[in-house]
Amino acid sequence: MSTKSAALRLEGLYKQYGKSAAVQDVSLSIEPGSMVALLGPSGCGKTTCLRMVAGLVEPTAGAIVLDGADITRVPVHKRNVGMLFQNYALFPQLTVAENVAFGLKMRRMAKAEIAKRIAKALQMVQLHSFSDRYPSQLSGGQQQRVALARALVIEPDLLLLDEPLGALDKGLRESMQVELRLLQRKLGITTIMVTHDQDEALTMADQVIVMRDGRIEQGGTPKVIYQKPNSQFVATFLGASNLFHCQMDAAGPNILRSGPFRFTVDGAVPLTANPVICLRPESISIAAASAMNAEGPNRASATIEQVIYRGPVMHYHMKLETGQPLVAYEQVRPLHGSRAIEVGDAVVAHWEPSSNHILPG
Amino acid sequence: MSLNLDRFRQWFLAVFVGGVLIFVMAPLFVTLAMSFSDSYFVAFPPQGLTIRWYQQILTDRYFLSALALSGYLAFGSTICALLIGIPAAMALARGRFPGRTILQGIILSPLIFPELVAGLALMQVLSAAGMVDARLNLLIGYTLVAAPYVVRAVTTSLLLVDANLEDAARTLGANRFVTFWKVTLPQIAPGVAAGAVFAFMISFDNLPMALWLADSRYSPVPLMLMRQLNSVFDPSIPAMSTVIIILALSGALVVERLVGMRRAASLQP
Ligand SMILES: Nc1ncnc2c1ncn2[C@@H]1O[C@H](COP(=O)(O)OP(=O)(O)OP(=O)(O)O)[C@@H](O)[C@H]1O
Ligand SMILES: [Mg+2]
Repeated sequence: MSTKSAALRLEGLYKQYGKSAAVQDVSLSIEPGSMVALLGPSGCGKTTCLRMVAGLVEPTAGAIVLDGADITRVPVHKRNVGMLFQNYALFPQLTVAENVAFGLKMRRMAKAEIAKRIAKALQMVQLHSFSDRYPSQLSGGQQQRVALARALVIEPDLLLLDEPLGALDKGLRESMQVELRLLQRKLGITTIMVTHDQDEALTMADQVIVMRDGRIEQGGTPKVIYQKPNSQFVATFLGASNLFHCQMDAAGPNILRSGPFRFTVDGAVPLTANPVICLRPESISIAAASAMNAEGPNRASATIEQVIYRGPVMHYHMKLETGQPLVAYEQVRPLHGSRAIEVGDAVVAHWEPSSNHILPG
Repeated sequence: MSLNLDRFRQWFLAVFVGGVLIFVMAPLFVTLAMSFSDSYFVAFPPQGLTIRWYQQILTDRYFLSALALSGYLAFGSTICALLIGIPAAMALARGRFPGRTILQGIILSPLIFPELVAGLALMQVLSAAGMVDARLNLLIGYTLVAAPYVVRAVTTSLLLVDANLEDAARTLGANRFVTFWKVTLPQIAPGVAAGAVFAFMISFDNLPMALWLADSRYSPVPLMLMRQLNSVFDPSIPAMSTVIIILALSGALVVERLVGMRRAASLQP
């Protein structure tokens, strides 16, 4: 299946429903062949954005530009987009093969050509032996693969995914994430995916767009979004974060103070009114109180409140002397023996200055 | 203990359903029985056994033409009710306009339709418009009575159809009409069939509209029957009723087949 990679640009998209705005001023540029994830809490306007790109929802204002052509007013059935829905949306009265043929029939393709393409598309999703079944006779994962074949067989300019794996269980979801991403890369099809699962967004996307209340909060590569969030909202939405509200410290331009704790940063602190330090749990190390002095910056003495074994990772929930909670993750390394950190232990949490990420307050 | 309770429940259910069935069906059987009575007046239990009343009515020109008129009106108004009712249901279930939910609520609730009053109003409008063809007027009246049943049945089944199916079809290149024809209609076929059967039955034996809109040349069966009742009350009346019951039932079956309840039901193995 050959697909040409298309560049997509959203320019100041708005969608108004009555008095409330579902999407406000969304501008976005998507490289040909890349995968963008729209990530955000429920009701933040992800689906509305995606449906505007598909042509299923008409924008109140703004433009959608595909390969330089303004398609904002092009009706959905002429846009040549492939779309996946959370509930698969397979036509229940049609067989797997007939479902896949639907878009080709709409394009008035010759019968022989249709048969050839169906076979190829079903081969691609490893369902060639299921062509005569009805959707109700397939598992959820198989149904979504049929939907994927149905969407890709028309060789769309864009692939739009609205929480495509949301209804699958965890293991299957993770393997489908990988499978979907491999296929997307191989075909080089420009893709937008909607999800509220930050792991999924980080796993699959070249670019993650974090949305909040209809607006884009931050966009960037998964690494940037995760390591350099530019707001507390993004920091907390992308997984647990320890946040400290700080003041500048008289001792130096690169030192911040939050109660008894001091944080040093590489270089001078950027001037923000009420800086907040964001500290990812995996960047915190734990030492026994007897083995390390709690004095000094980037250290804090704490008491272990809870230890959670999560397979590859240990989660330590601690309480600082100020009463604040602190969470640390530690890789489990079976070959290194297990550490005897238990509930009630007095410990010292410490971290590198480079882990101190400053957010505006 | 629980077994006993289950037993009791089953027993109770059987008696209850049986009772309801008898209550509903008894008049039909009484009518059937009386139509074979060999007497000059309607009698129950029937006296003797004869089919002469059937011989009489099946050669009765008035009865046969009334029957033909009723059949034509029922089929015609069912088709019109479908043509009006399905788009209306689509608008109610899928459209976005102010007051949609209120309108949906009104139409979906079992509304009281004062047909006698509506018939009078319709007659006045039609005569003011100079429309004098009783057949056409009856068709309009019956369509008016039947359409809400179609709207209700179709709207209810539309609300159960996943709108994403329609969206998926549209992204695959189907315009709105093709989407309706290929995706929506197969999904709502049972609702359409139910609405059509209702519409047919309602039109076939509607009296209130006929009272206002029929004339002496074109009287549908219920009106003709009522006129007959006022003059003679011999077993030809139950005989006619029996013929009507059988025709209405078979008409409903034909409509159901035509609209495809069976097909829809057998789609998924
Ligand atoms: N057809 C509509 N009419 C009115 N309001 C709507 C409509 N569709 C969406 N909205 C509103 O717009 C906002 C954004 O909805 P949207 O479905 O885009 O959110 P979402 O980010 O996809 O959420 P979720 O993760 O729950 O799917 C919500 O507040 C929603 O109530
Ligand atoms: Mg959504």
